[in-house]
Amino acid sequence: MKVFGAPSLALERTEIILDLAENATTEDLLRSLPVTDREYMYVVRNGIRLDSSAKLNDGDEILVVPPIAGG
Amino acid sequence: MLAKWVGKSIVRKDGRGKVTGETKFFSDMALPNMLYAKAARSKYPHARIKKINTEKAKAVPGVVAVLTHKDVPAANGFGILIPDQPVLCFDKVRYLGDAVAIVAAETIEAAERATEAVEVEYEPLPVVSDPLEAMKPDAPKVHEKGNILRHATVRVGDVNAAFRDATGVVENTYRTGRQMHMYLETEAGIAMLDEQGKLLLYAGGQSPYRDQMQISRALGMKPEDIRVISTPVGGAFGGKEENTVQIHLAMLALRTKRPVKMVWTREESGVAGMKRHPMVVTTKTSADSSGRITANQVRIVADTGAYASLGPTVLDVAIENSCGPYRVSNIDIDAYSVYTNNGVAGAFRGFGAPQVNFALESNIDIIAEKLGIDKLEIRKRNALREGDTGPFGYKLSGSVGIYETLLRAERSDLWKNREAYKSQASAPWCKRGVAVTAAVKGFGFGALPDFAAASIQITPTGKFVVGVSCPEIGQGAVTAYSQIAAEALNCNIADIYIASADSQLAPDTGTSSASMALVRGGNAILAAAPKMVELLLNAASQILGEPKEHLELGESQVILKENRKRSATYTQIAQSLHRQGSETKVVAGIEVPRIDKPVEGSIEIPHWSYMYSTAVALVEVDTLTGVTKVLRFFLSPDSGKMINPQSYTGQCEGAIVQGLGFALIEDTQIDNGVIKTNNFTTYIIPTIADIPEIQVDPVETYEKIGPYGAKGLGEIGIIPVGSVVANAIYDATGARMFTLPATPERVYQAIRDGGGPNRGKSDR
Repeated sequence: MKVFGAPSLALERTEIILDLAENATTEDLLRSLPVTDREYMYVVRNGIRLDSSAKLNDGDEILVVPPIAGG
Repeated sequence: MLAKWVGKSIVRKDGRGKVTGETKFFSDMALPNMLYAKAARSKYPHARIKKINTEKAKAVPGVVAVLTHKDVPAANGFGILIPDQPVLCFDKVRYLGDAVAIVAAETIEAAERATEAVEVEYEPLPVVSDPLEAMKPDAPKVHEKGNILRHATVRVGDVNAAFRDATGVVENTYRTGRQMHMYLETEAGIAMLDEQGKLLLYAGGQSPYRDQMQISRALGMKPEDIRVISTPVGGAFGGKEENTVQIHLAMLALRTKRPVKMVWTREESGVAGMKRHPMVVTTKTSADSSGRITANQVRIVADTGAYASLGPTVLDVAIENSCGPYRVSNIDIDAYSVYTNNGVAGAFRGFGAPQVNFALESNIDIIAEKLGIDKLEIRKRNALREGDTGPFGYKLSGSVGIYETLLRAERSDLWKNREAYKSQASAPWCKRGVAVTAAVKGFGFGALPDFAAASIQITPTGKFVVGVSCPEIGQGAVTAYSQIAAEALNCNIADIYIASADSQLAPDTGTSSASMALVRGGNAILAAAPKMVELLLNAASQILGEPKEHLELGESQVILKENRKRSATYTQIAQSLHRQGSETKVVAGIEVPRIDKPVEGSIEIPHWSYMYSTAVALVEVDTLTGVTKVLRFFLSPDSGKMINPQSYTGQCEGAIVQGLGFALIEDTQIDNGVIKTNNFTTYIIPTIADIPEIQVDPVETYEKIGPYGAKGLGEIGIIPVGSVVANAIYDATGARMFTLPATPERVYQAIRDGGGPNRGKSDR
């Protein structure tokens, strides 16, 4: 999992490998993060944002990022 | 393969409706049983709230709901980066646009009467309206944490050594105005509960998913229980990137269980809406004897107003653009974004770049004159080239066309014949001048992560519905997406329907902002198209009884390579898929390439790739009145390959005209926190009478990360306008402008002052 912003600060790294239970969902993944406002994090797989019930697969590369904007 | 649709001036799909007035915007919509909403806003620019009483408001006939901060279900704050703006204020108000209560009523008149009847007991607090004063330790605090929203420093090399060794050093302070977006449609929307009880919001905006997130955060609802439709939009320019009416409408619809409409009045938009950050920019620039820039030291103070919104990243773009499209090896930047009680500043086309461009390009003009170097030549000598290391110490990854745009300017009729144009002043007291300036801006979010997805579905009749959530905000996105999809799927453009800006119908493609809608949406479509092609080939293989490898796309059909008369049309394929209940939709996404380690001290610097432009302007200044008229304008942009040349030109022309407002007339007047110019009577924007003859001469570099080689475009046209107009005024009159807009009063005074301090205090 690649993380950015608050999750990366909390985890003190930008990439981690997570062991989640089989049939784990996006919500399960977010619950494993030591951050507040986790429900507003964007969880992205292959450029597609996942909703909270999306099932994760073994080997998925996931990006977790807070709402951001730049210019 | 020759492109059939891409690169052609296809007629805008949304053009006819918008030109004829047939398009219905959300502010035009009315629904049965609909209520009208209005916000009760602050009476003071800065005050403590002691008590709020809504009893009299609730008693107004026709009033259905009056809500205060007690009714905000979850987080009472919004703001894309830092949610520090209350949905409804509870302890303090920090500007006149702050909402204290919201009302829904049977008529707009009843809603207005009710907002006037909301009783709020205030304790006025000292107002801080000057960002430089706001930075002082004893200044009144807009927020308890202090008035500095962000302080950033970026340093590369050794500016002091470079200044010591330089032939020419110029230092000046420049100021820019508080430009207002002035979209024709003010902030507006309608919210309701759909037949399944889910929240449905129609509100013109720049990203349905971003709005969905902000509503979700304030209301404590799951995002998927909120459907947001953000198009059509009657103009945005960055001002509708932030939440405006959305959360208030959502709260009222949920409370009343009826459709609720809110349309900000023009005056309300002026008071509560976003503005461009006014900036004070002190720039010290040095060059060697050949005119090569050796160092640039910049101090930026940006007035971000009462809340953060996108202030932190606007500051980053100002930093990134403060050294222009030039090779500068020593930089020292110290930048502040400062809270005041002056409205709220946020995203506005250019995002911090036009302000600093005015400062740098003015300094370069002064240096060129001191060193006796032609003003276009000095820019050519410093222009970045492909593969260069940029000013912030990173290698440029994208295509770099700035030098070519300068050559186009050099060859332009206006530049070649500038002396002839200048000699044709319309009266003896009128003076003409010509100037050239250059600009740069990254597209996208730079080092910040960014992603985009699109869907493609084949309908039962063999046409395609393409889901892209970036809204059409007037830039021609829907037509460009159609061209890209038609090209990739080898079908007629009439067979493409873009399901745009609907969080239920399109996956999250990101925002229409940062000159990025084309690149995000276009690349996402190009990621989804091969999946759809695969689906078509598989289905055709079944229909034709031929291996997939023997098939290829023909025009709206799949054909057998060896016998091109054997084919399955898209209509036949679609009927087969739908009959069998097979999958008819594909979704794919992309992560936008980025350099994932930002420059130290920054948030998003650098960008992977940049847009560039060079502008030339001819002005005529009436020296008796100071009135400046721009007569001709040449712009050579490098925005990569053109997807739609007509839309491209239109985007550039619009950007130039909006830039003329920034350069000459537009500046929201705020006196001690009180806005004085909040409608078209007092806040003047350019009209058709002010528009010069415009020539756009695109440089089409091929950008490898863009769809069909395209880059972003929306902002690059506006960035050099302020600087080129200011420098042309100097060329005409000898009066150097240090403040924009260059109003008649300022120009007249600068002429009276004998040209002002145009040599710069540390000039050698």
